Amino acid sequence: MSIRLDRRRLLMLGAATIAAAGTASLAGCGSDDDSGDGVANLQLWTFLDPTGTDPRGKALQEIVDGFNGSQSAAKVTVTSINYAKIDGEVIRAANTGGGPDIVNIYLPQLAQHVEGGSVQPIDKFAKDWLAQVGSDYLFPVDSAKIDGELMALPWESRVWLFWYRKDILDKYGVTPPTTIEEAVAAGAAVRKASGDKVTGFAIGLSEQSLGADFMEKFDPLTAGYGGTVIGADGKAAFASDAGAQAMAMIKKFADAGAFGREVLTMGADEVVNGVKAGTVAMAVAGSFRVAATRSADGVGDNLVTTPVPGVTAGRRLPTAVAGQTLAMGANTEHPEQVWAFMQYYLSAESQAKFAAAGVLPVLRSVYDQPAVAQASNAKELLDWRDYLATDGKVSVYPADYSELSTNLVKAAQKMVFDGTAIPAGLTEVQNQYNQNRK
Amino acid sequence: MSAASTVVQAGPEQPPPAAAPRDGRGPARRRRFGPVALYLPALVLVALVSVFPIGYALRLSVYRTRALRTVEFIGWDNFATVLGPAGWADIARTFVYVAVSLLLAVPLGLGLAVLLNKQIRFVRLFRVVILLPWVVSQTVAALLWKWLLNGQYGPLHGVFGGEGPLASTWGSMASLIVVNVWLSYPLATILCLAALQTVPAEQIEASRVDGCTPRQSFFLVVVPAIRSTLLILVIMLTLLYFNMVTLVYTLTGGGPFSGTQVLSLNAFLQSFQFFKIGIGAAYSVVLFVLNIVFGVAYIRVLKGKNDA
Repeated sequence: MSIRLDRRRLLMLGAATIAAAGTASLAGCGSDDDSGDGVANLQLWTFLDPTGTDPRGKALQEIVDGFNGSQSAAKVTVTSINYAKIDGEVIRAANTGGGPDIVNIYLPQLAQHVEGGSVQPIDKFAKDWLAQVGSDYLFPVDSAKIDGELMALPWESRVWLFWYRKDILDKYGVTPPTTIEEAVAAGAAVRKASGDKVTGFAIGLSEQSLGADFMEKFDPLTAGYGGTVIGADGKAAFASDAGAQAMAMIKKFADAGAFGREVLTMGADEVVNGVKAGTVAMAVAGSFRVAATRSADGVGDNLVTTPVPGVTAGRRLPTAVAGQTLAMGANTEHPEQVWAFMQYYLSAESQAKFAAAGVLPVLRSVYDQPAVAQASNAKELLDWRDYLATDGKVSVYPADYSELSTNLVKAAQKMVFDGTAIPAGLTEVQNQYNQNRK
Repeated sequence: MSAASTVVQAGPEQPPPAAAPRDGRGPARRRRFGPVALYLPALVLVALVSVFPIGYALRLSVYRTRALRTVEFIGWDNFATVLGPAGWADIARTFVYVAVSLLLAVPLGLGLAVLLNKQIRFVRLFRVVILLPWVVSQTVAALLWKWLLNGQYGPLHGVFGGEGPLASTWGSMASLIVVNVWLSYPLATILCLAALQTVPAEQIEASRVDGCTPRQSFFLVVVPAIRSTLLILVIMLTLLYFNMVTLVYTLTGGGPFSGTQVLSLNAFLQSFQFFKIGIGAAYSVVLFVLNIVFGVAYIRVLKGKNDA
């Protein structure tokens, strides 16, 4: 029997082939549900890179390997995405029906994820667990609730500390400051003595990375003067006397010469890189970056951290309470296994592994464990924990926090370097923000 | 005699007459619509990946959105934002960025192509070195130049002094243009080189015999001969520059003082950093219109010259 292939049949065959190929490829785009042997393949998207030099990445890999080896129902695979891009990637993926099963979210971005529909509440899974473990939480776990629903589990605490390079201060004969005013003078002295080659006190004013470095200073400074960036009603409240004082203090660093226009190109990464390279003498930076910075050539114990000096002698500036959280992806088909992994991630053993990598654990009991209490950085971890407990300030992070922080740092650039009046610059951003929220 | 009847009568294997259309126009119709059917799958594919997203972006641009969902129809409000005072500043910066980049990249690419077209020693080595930036991604190029231009520890620190060019509005725009040209001149060089190699040597020799100087020969013989390629190059680079996000985002992030905030960057930031996808779509629509306007204008210029 022979089959005649005229033009029409060829065309139909071609169209059918294309349709079949398209259907098959679309089917292939779906999430990797099962490996065929009953094991749920879970995708964890995080900013940590298990293959990099950051000790936290190594700790993550150990934890994931530990989980994968501890049971046979699920296997977790890590996808590392740059921290500046991960939120967008996750929200976009979730809105097309995909995305990760487990996602690492920085607390200030959590509301944005909830609004973007990329995560799902975990109350029903966490209820019993929290009843047992909840009181052990050092971190205010309610800060991960949005509209009364628990959306993530905090696994990392962080405090913002005063960093200084002891070797650089010694070189220029400058003593570590004990108040913010002294920090201005010390920063100016270092920069002048170095011939402007070393930034005395760096506050990153670049709008890259959503102005995070600026916000990490402006927020606690405003709190230090008795104000707040976002009020309890969710509206911006930084154009206050406290906010103006905080902004004036940042400008004072520039006017005194503690930093120059080079900070316009600095975000949080650049400030830390500057500390590593010895081109930044003092900064306010996160506890989570200390271990990686000390591992850089020539840094080691030359990097000293203390609570941030306050506006008056003997006082300390409040530190923002923020940290990394673990959330359940909106489209996961294996919520039970995801929850099992989250529990493992929050176990005392896993927390101890992160503590060894310089991460501040969220559970009080972990600090008493031998692995933490006898670690080389134990005293520092305990100091940070106490700073968090006594001076931690819980902030409100609305869904459009990224836009607010970007607009604020742009305004700060103009107020610090371009002559824009301080209350006016703050008021303009505040009014614009509150107007958009009506 | 019609073509249909010719085919039917051509041999005993032909299908019975009942299979052919009664009006006798079947083969003619097949000839007419056959090619259409052949490119129909490609057309559907293009519609899916290009036309649909454009239509979707147009729709989004007239909606207020929350996260990635439409909330309410707001007409032209998003365009009022994009074309407001801040938006016009973005457009002006975009034109500066595109125009200056073009003015540098095209002559540079053409000049290098002329040099690479000469039969000199080590020409292959020169070609590799000159075309090297082409294989560097925008992200890597941005990070590399960011380090080079760093005012404190960058290797070019001695040239720029303490703060570095990226710390000032004009310095950052100039740096952005330089890096953009560095990334894109190899494309111009390759296209020009390919075009130059199609210009008959006899034409150039004839012009020299007729008394042209090398300069006259180049501008009066060579350049007109490769004009089509140059136009295509200008269109390609214009579209590339208008739509460039990665380089701007990584090198300057739009700053400082919003001095490098161009339309494409704002479209990205609004859509995927602030998740205001409606305003982001409005920025994209304005960009799309600019791309179309410039593309059509260039083609008309070429067509006009060819007609003349």
